[in-house]
Amino acid sequence: MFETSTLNARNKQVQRLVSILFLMMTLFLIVPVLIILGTLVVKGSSVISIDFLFTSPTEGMTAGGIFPALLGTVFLVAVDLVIAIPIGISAAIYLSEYAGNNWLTRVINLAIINLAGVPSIVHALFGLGAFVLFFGFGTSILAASLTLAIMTLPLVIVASKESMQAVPQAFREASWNMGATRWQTIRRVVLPNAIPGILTGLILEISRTAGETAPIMFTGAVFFTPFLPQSIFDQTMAMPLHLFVVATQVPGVPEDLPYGVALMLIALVLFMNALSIAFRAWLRGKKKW
Amino acid sequence: MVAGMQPPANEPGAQVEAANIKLAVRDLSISYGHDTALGNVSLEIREHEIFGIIGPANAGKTSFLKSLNRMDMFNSDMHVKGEVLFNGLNIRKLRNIYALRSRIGVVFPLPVGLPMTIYDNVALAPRLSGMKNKADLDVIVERCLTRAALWDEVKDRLNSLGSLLSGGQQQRLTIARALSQEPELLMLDEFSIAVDPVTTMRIEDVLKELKSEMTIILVTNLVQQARRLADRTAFFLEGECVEIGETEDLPAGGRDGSFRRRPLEDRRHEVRSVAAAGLRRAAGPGSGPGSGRHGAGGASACRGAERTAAFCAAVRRARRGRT
Repeated sequence: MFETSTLNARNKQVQRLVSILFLMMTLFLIVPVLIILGTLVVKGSSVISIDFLFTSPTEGMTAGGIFPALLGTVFLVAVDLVIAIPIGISAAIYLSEYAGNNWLTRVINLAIINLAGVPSIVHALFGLGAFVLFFGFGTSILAASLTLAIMTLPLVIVASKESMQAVPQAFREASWNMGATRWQTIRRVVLPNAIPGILTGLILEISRTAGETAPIMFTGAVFFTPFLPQSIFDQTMAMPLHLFVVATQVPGVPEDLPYGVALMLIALVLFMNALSIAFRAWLRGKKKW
Repeated sequence: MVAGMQPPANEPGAQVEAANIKLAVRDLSISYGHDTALGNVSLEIREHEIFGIIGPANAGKTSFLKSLNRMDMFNSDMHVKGEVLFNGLNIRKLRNIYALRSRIGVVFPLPVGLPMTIYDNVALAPRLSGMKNKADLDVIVERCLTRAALWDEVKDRLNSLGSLLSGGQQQRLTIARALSQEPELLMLDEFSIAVDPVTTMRIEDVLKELKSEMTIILVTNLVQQARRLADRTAFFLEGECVEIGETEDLPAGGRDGSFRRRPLEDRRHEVRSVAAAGLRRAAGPGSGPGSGRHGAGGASACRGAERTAAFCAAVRRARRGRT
């Protein structure tokens, strides 16, 4: 009754082959990550020290540390979040909770998709034209952060909207049936349930913001400045641009210095992500989800 | 209960004192896009009665409930025509529909335990209406949970998550939440679908007690449940309200449209014959003309009674087949 027919055997063979194939494909993902991280750690870790983190570059950027760039990137990300979080989450709330199925909503959704598709160098030129020149912010943290914010808004909006739409409709109806307004329902029922998903969107957004080079190149980040930024209207150094500079623009840089800078950039992004993930976990714990 | 003993008023315009009528529905039609979910329903629900609504799936029962507290507002596909008077006020002309909804408690077929603590679940409605005093909230939470027959089971873990309770407990939590609104009207939409029989009986006992404080609309699939609880019952079928009457006479509306009490045996016999006639007719084409004046004597009432009986018979057959 349970003898293996030729067909069974062939099916089994194909099945085994296919699963191995998929596994190989998946492993290809891990390979570049391992190579990148491995190379950076092996070649770059010798540079890293407390001094490296907290001093300015010296001797025409061939020695010294990365403190201004590190601080500059933290500033850029912070200002970017201050701009992107309120706009992005408000837009997501509107699209998820208020928008009807009409032409306006379709136009907005189309705009978001297109915004996500614009290349970063185009964003950079837009930022240069709009914020640096037209609004007269000059090359400054503000102009750079605004450019970054516009570029990353679609990420925040889409992630937040989807996490809100994942909240079951029955919850909303229960709340409406009690006489709650839409806003009361959003505040007490939808948002508390959507916050973990919204934070995931922000994590993606932070990673993207911290690593972008092109949009800040013309709008706020500079090659080298001996001063730390004092306000959002100052220019600043930034990690990705600094990496680009020491890797390609400055002669006579010791070979391991760019690796060290790259390693720190990745560490910075991972650290910011870890903070948000910890925050998310804390929120979940508090809410007993 | 007094309301249940009153002479039956089957006609929409029946002369019950106006003060006694909690909810009057006139020519209510509900459609989704081009599909009519409910056509020309007229009925009156008296204060402090349990008004049952029975009928098979897709009969328009849930849409009917939704139209009563203006939930059509949240569904752009749903169109409601006709008049609904709540305490004599036309709800379509009310400015403050939030106040209307807060006076109407709703319990859904599947329990909706909001993902917050048990305490917060019950305290939500009072909080929405601006109550902040912890002591007052404590009193409300305890009272509502007690009345929903849940307090003893959860009093030691009010701060654990409401959505982690079992299905039956969650349904009682939902009822407690509806009670926390101090509603004048409580609408239960097939509340016992996801609840075990013991819990169902407990909830039914609770409902009988609540009747003295509020008016209750009970939508149910179970004819037996309507018979146990409801003072009067309407039968919805395919988007029409085909019959309204005293629950006791439910499956056997008289051919002349009157509702008399008859000995059980007699009634059973009649159910069988009427059911057979109804089924023969149901097998024929068309679902009959829509009737706006239900149970109002004449051929349409007779037809309504037949369809009711046919449905009841089909339910009994299905049950026999299952057990």
